[in-house]
This record gives sequence, structure tokens and C-alpha cells, in this order.
Amino acid sequence: MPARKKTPLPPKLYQFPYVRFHGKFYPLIPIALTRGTSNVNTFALLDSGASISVFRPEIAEALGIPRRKRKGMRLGTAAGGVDIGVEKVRVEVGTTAFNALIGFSHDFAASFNIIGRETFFNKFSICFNEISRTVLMVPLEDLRS
Amino acid sequence: MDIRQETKWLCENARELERYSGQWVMFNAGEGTFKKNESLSRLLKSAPSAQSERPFVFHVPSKRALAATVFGTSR
Repeated sequence: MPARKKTPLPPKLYQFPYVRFHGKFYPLIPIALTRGTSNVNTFALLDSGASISVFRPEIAEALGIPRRKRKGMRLGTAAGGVDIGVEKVRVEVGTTAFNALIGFSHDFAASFNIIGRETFFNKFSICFNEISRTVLMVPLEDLRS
Repeated sequence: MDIRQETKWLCENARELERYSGQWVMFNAGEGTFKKNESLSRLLKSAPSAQSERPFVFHVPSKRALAATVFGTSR
């Protein structure tokens, strides 16, 4: 009797609607951050134009990341350069978990937490649909299996 | 953690949250709890024990702060 072929599970698909603030729509996604025994559940903006992720400094404090321990980096923005501290943090989106480098900045804390491409966009296939105002994310690990 | 529920809650309540611009809000859609504070650390200290699900925290952006950035699509 031939061995029964195992049917692969369909890939996970996360679909998040854009969130409207002050008349504009933003692709905000739920994200859980963990470092040691500290964890924070929050929302962050998916920004394909950002090279790295930058979160608000209060999140670093909640995760117990001391300012002096963070690796320093200078980030170029349209408004000029800002200093950020970068730290490796455990990230979860739905049931997809991985380590990501996240920058924290006191100088660049104007609005949302920002998810940039580095160590994040290589974990998902991401589709922004500006018509339906939704973002679709498929974990790449699911597509490989 | 049901992220669909939390995302739905944020979408449905974003308009209401605008009044707390510049503040942190903490919510648990499943339990129907909501708190706000200017300090995230104070807000987290008031969070329920580790036995229950950790609530979501979110910094509500002000219109001014969003105007200073270039992301987002208009209606």
C-alpha cells in the first residue's frame, strides 16, 4: 500500500483593517513584544518606507531596557537625523514569533510605533490594499513548508 | 489573545479615542476594560495580574503629531 501523502496545512493569513485617526487611515497591526519576563501588547504602523523599526521610548521602559544598554544608531529622516538605541526583542504577530531589532528614540516619538523592513518584512509576505484599506500578511515560514 | 477582537475594538473606538490624543490608553476587548493615563508605566502598574490576559496599550496620536508625518491615506 503506497504511503499516504501528507496534505500540507494552508498558510496562515492575517488580515488587519486600517485604523482611522483624525481623518486618515493607517495600517496598524497588533504586536506583542517580550524581553525576559516583561511583555507589552501594542499596535504599530507597518511602514515599508522605513528601513528599521522605531518604537516609543515608553515601550523600552516597560520592557525593562535601560537606556545605556541600547546600541546607538543615527537614523536619517526627512526632518533630519535622530539618535536611537537598538535592542533585540522577541516579537509576536498572531502566532508567528521571531526576534527583531527595534530602535527606541526619545527624539522620534511623535506619533505611532513604526515597523520598518529590517528583521520584520523578511518574515512575511505583505500586501497593502489601499482600496479595501486592509493589510494582508502571510508568514513566509508557512509558505516554505 | 484574540488579535482580531483587539483590532476590531481599536477600529470601532478610534474616533472616541481621539479625545485622548497624546495619552496612553489600555484596553482588553474581551473583558471590556478601558483605562487612560499620560504615563504608560502608571497605566501598566494598574493592569490586572499576570493570570489574566495582558491588555493592549496604545499611544493615541494627536492631529498635530500626525500632520508632522507623511504616512497614512486620506479618505
